[in-house]
Amino acid sequence: MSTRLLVGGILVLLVVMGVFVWYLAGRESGKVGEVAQTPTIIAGGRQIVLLGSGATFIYPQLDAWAKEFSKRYSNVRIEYNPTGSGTGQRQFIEKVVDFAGSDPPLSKKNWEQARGDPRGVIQLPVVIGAVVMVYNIPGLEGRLKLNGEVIALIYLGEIEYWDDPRIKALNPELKLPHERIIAVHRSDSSGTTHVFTLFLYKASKGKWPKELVEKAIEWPVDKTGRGLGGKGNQGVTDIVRRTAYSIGYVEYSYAILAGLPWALVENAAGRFVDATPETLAKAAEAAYPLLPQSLEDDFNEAWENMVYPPGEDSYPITSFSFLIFYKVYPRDKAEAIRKFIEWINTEGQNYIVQGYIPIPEIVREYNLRAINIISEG
Amino acid sequence: MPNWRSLKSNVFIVLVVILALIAIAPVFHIIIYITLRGLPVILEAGIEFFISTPAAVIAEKPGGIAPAIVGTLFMTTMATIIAVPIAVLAATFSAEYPNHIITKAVRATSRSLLEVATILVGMLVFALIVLPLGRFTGLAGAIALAIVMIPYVYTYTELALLSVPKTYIEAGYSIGLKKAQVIYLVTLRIARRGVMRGVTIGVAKAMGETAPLLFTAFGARNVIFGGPLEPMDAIPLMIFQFIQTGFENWNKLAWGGAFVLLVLYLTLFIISRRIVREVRV
Amino acid sequence: MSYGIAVEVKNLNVSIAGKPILKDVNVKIPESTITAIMGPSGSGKTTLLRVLNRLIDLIEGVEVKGSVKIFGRNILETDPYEVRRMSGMVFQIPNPFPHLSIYDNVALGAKINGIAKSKRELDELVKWALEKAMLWDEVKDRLRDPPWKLSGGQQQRLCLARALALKPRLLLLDEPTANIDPVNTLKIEEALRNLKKEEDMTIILVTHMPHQAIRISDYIIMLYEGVVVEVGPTEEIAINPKHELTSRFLRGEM
Repeated sequence: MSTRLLVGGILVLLVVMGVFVWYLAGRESGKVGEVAQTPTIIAGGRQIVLLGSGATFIYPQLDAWAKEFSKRYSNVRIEYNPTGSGTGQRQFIEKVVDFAGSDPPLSKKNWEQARGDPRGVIQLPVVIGAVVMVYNIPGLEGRLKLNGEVIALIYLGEIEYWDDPRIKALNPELKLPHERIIAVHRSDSSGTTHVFTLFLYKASKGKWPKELVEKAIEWPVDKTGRGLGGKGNQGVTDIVRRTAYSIGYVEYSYAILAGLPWALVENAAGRFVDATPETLAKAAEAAYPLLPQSLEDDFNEAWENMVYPPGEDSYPITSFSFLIFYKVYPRDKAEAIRKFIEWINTEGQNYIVQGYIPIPEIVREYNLRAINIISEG
Repeated sequence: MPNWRSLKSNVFIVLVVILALIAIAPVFHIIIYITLRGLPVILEAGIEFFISTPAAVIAEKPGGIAPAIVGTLFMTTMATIIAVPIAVLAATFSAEYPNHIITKAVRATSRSLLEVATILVGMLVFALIVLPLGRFTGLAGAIALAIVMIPYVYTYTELALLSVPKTYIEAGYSIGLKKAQVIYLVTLRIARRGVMRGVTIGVAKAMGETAPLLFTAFGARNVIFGGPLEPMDAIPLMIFQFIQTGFENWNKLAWGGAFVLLVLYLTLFIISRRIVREVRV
Repeated sequence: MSYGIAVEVKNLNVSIAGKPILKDVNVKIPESTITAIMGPSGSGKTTLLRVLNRLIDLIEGVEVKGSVKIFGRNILETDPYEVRRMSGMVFQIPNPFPHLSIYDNVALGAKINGIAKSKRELDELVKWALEKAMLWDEVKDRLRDPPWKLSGGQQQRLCLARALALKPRLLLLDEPTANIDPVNTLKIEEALRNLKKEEDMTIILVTHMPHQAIRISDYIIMLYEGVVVEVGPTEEIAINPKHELTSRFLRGEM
């Protein structure tokens, strides 16, 4: 009867699926480039799977690294889940992942909790991110120049029109239209917002209040009706692209892909700087002295100091993104983690995804200290 | 002299038809749009799309979504196997003893589950299974999906059982069948279309869920199938995570995945109607 | 021709949710006879019938007191499922199982209760039951068909066959022809007569139609508001009803 047919059908389906999966499991994964060297097996040859979760920003880069790394060390597989920095930190503390990715480093509270745990914690700055001000002014010829104070006033709602004298003062040669500025921000909680508002606080000569430095805030410009919120970097990019006379802040990597123009921003040395791989790397170099003595230390102050850094050529709105590891790993994983950290900071620099800025050499050296810190337990 | 009544009737019919078309138009829009954006991706990638893992964003070709397809099929099937017996048993009990306190409790729980955001189900399974075990697993994902499924199967099955005319149940007893036999050989069989409807809706819901899988199955996609006790991918999860990045390769995979999901839904609906024959009461 | 007592009811009182339905019923029904239970609506006929196969148990809030013996066994103290296997029932509205074929409708009870041991035995049993129900010739070429393809009268004969498949010694029918056309009604009545003669079956038939009772029954039990008003051989009661209610009913005035 029909029940038998149903049960039989399900069994057949399961068997077919099982065979299919078993066959597929023997196949190679999608090819990236050519394998430069013959693959190595490490740590006794067992399959090692490393799980990481956290920031969405770092996901495409980490994934590219993970896949290349697996070609080099064929028994190690690395999986990353882009859940957001906050969730990544939490899962790290709960010890359900092997590492975490986070745009800001571990919060002071989380860091102290992790430090007190027998497995310990180290943090490595692995990529540089930057926030750029994309804009959509139809018909504008030339690049817009902005500084922290003006941007702050825009997002406070106090500068209403593009041809406001304060904007014109920075851009004497541009023909700015008399149109209302639509200020686009994030509707979700984000490290990008945190970096952006931190920059505003530092660079706006007191105009932007400390209370509004957060991953998610109530934007004053919303009250004037000229603010719009977008979900994720993608959301903000889409809105700016669609909305004439709008301005928004997005991660540099998204801006590159989006094809929108972005502004030159005045840095702490008083120069108007474009966001380029060079200026971002310069900012990282300038920030290097501000990094803590040891990878085991708290990185919060250093991270804040990197925003609006010193240096003539530094792009002002830059930040590090971090990978957070334990100090102590079980034997197989310890070896794999060490190799991964080493690889990222050496060969991995050949596999940088478009839009991500590699860290300068001194920071790579700094990260490689981890190899001697990680122990088995 | 115009016939007002027939005029009113015709206007009303036209209005109803137009409103019905407006109501279902979004469904067609979704189907057409997904096909337009997803099918070309699959045609371009060919068989690779179904048997490869996704490539890194810097690769030339996007690779495929085999891990997501396998994961969705595996976890949905597992969830169905877990959820359907539990739900059907609960519904049978509820239909037999409608005023029992257990029935009231079950019905209330089912209704609450229907209203709760599915991410909470995922977090529940995370707390109960993932955290104690210290690992993300496809099995945990399947369990989360099963919990999402159960209220749907339960509700439809109970309804179907209660709709079976009492006279058939009496006839079953009259030929000496015991209670369990009456339920299994008569009531459930007559209600089979309704039960199947519940199962179909439950499976459809589970197949499209992302939130419960975020903290259970994890979304591992550098291997096609690591096993039920390893992290696993699923099509909606893959779409969710890929579409948030700006990279074309991954966006393509996401749209292709959406189309595959569409086809899976179509297959589900067609199969479920054919498997169970209608019972003319 | 058997002369034992098939059904013996003593001091039967049935109430549902506190409301008395049957009061102090005492009857004896001989084997191999057709007994008609008659009375107006609400007199308790259906209730009395359902006590005999303990279908009455399915009603919520029912209380049954007294003694009911079928072929010597007190059925109120016996496992109800066993009691139901002792008799077959045909219901007022034909209710063949809609999800089973004609064949399976008849075969289900026999299969589950282990009455037929092999496929061949089952086939023979189904054929026998359908023949006794006077339906075999009409369905023998389409045993796999679903019941909705049959007419109402055919469906009721199918239900009769289903009831017979357990080879019960007692057959209970609850107004079986109330919704059936005259041709099928006569066919069913003929089937009952044959069952009594050829299989020594004891048949108890609730009927609303006095003429039916007179046509086929050997005994009549007249019920009114849960009380047995009159009991006796049909010939006597038909000609000379003792109770006024009986005569009014027979004349069609109730």
